[in-house]
Amino acid sequence: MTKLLSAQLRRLGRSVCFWGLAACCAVLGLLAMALAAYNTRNLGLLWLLSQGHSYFFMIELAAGFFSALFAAFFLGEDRSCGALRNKLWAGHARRDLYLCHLLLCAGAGLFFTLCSMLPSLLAGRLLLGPALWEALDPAPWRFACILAVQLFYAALFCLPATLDARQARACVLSLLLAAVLAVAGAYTTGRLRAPALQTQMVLQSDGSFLREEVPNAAYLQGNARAVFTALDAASPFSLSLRTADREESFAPLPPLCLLAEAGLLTALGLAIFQKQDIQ
Amino acid sequence: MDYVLTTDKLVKSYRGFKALDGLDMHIPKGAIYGFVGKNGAGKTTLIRLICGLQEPSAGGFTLYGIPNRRRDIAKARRRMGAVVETPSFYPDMSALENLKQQSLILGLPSFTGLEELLELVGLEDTGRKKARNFSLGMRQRLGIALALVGDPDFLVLDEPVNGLDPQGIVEIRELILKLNREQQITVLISSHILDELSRLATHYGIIDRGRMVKELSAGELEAACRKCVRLEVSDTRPLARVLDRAGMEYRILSGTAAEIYAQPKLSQLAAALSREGCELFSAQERDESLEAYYLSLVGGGHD
Repeated sequence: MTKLLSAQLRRLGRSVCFWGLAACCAVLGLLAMALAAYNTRNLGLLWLLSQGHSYFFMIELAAGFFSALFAAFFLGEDRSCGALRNKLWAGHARRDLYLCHLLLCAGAGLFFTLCSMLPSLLAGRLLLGPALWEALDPAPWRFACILAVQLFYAALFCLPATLDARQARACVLSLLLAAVLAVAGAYTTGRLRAPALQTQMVLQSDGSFLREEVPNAAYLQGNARAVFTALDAASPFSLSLRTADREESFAPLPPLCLLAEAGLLTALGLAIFQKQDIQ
Repeated sequence: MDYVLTTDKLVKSYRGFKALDGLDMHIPKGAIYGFVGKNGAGKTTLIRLICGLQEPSAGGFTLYGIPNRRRDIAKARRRMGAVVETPSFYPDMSALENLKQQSLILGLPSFTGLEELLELVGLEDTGRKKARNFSLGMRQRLGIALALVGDPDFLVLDEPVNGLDPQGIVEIRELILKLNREQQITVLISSHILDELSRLATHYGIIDRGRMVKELSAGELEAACRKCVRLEVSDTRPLARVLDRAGMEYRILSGTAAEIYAQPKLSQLAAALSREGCELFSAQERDESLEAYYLSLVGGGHD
């Protein structure tokens, strides 16, 4: 395993794909903070205090796509160019090969997050001054959640990248999965966040408007709410949304769910890879 | 005799189709083992099994005496190098970078000897050129160089001269011979280019439809190959009549050429042919080739 990791890290250091994605993350972090600075100038400090935090964590919303691209291009090349065969005849166990891919993917995902957050912090400090620190809520649970999300994405995208010899197909499938997860996560979170009551303005006989609270038809109740809550807890994108929301507090269920899912996906991938005939 | 690789009733099935059907094979230490068979006979499947790319459906094999089901088969695999079908390498790296990468995969302590390895396979002048821009011959050489990282003592080459130009074929052949003679590397080389194989191999395994048809040494093959006399005549029809009357076994090759599996008295044969109005132009003694021997064992038809 150590030999595999050291070989892959050396390759990683020279990988255009890896550094290209890291650069994209850095640019994304800079752009997010530049946008936050622009909005602060137009909308005032209060806007920064309520929304600045989510701009800092914006990279997490795109984490799935970065992991998918990294896995498909970097790890997928191992399989598609046949280098995986060289490792097998060199006596490496399939389990080690798979776990090495998993570790690399998770590590790269965390590195991409850092690549976005560090420039973002620097830019924020320069553009917004000390007000930035007040806007941020860097609670440790948020970073633990980021770790759980990255582990989940690594476990998910390792599957096609390692098991599919066709790199292009693995890439398309990974990006599709990332997109589906993002849309589904945003949808479940949106539905759950719908308020129970909504304000309605009722026209009175004297021409004035009366403001009254009425039940919101979009509000989920009963079994539907339970299903959506479960889906939300299982969604990496929903957890990323929670991480990026300053008002959210720590809930242990979603990260634990994601870790369990990552474990299951890894077990599934390993079981298939152990039996797979490699051409 | 010491064997590097033996297989015991090895079976590999793919959805009901048996690519290997009870294959028994024995590769002696120090041999260049020519693995001969048609396309689809099961040559590459066997190589994939040995390399750990696939698992046998039944039966087994031993590599350096270690059965494939034991965990330490991985240790035995570290003593081998392989090129399976197409050479595998990272296309965005140079030849030297690829060798360094393989060194790390093998856990070698340093990169010493890699330049010499490039020199050995004739890739010393490729510099920083990326492997994706290599010609087919250069790719084959890089594949062999990768297989040689870590000084293996068993080299598995699957169709190593496929797609090479004549000069490339000669160079690869000389390289294999050099490795076998100077470094005592045992080589398993699969090919359907029989003429090429006959210039290299010290042992042969002839496979057909997943079964070993015959295993023999080069000496045994030489003894098994029948002597024949190749005749060039003006017309093979009168020749056939004369040979039939003489009760000789023969094979008509064309309208003017035939092979006789006997030692005819040429003066008598020429006189008999002359009476039939046929002229004898030349007679040449030949050994039956590996190709003819192979065809006599497995037949000339296609699957």
